[in-house]
Amino acid sequence: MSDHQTETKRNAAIHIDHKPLSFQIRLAELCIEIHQLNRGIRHYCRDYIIEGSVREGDDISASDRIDGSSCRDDSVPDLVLGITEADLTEENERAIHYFGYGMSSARELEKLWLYREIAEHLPFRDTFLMHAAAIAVDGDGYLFTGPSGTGKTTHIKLWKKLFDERMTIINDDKPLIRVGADEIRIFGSPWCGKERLNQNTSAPLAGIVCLEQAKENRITRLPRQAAWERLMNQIYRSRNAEALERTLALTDRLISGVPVYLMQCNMKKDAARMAYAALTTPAHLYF
Amino acid sequence: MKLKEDYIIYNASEEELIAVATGDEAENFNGLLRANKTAGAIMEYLREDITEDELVGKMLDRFDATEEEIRAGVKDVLGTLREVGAIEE
Repeated sequence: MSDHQTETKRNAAIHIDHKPLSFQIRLAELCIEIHQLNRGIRHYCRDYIIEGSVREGDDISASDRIDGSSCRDDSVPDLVLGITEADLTEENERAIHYFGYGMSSARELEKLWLYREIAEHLPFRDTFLMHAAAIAVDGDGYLFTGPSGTGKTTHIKLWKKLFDERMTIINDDKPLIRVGADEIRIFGSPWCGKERLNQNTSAPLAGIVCLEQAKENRITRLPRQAAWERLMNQIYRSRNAEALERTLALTDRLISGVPVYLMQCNMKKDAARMAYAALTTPAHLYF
Repeated sequence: MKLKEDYIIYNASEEELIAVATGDEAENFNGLLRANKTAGAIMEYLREDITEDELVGKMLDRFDATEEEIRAGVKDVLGTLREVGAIEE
């Protein structure tokens, strides 16, 4: 039996839908080349694909692409990713470990694997992944974060009602944050929440709100230490020590660079008004 | 005893250190440890293999406090670190 057949047998419960092709996406200004194994990955990433970068078939090795045909002018991709069947099995075991059940769809496993690989690499480019809803109002970016089930999506929908066309939903669940030398910026990504709310766009970050459910609406600025704890619990933590150290340094700069608020709120429209008022009041006037 | 290698200590400010776990250890502890200057010093000493008495000795040299206070502080920090499984005995 060939290696390939053995591997497939081990994956008996995983439904693989082979459709090998490669393409490049631009994500938080990085060029990432993806060699997809399963049908549907390219479609999932469609809004982020660099024009002219799609190649059919699986005979394209990364080194063949160094002609710079599509990435940043004359440069090679920042990251080249292609899942193997062994990775799929491992990803499934991870799913069993975290969720208590495996996944039958190899495509879903491939998506999970890809974003984890990307997230592991990001800190080396001053960027990290955060569990949050990212929006922009009149061009200014805001992040709403908190554990699952605290109402991030519900809250940004209130904002949408309030601001309508002035507001853009950048990503409702897993946006990317780049802490540059001069600017902190939030970016959209195809990997997002169940409702697929995302846009291939970015905005300078103006404030972060940690959400907590409560009967009455209340918003307060968080002191540094409290901000650290709240944010670190929602920021992707690399398993690589150097990447994690970088993530900590980036978080530090994030906390120094933008105000962090704790908002205890109900899900009525007033909550959105209050949050916006706090976020747009100059910090020195706020106390 | 010593702090497990997989723990990363970060100086969040002059007054505070933060420790998180990486690698395989992140599976066991995905929280965040916050330490003030004294607790941070204890964690730094725990980077090397050290006994509780040696730790108390080093802290006594460094901080202006009674042995009783230092011993209680060390016990307290070690208790927290053991609770999350950050110590290798």
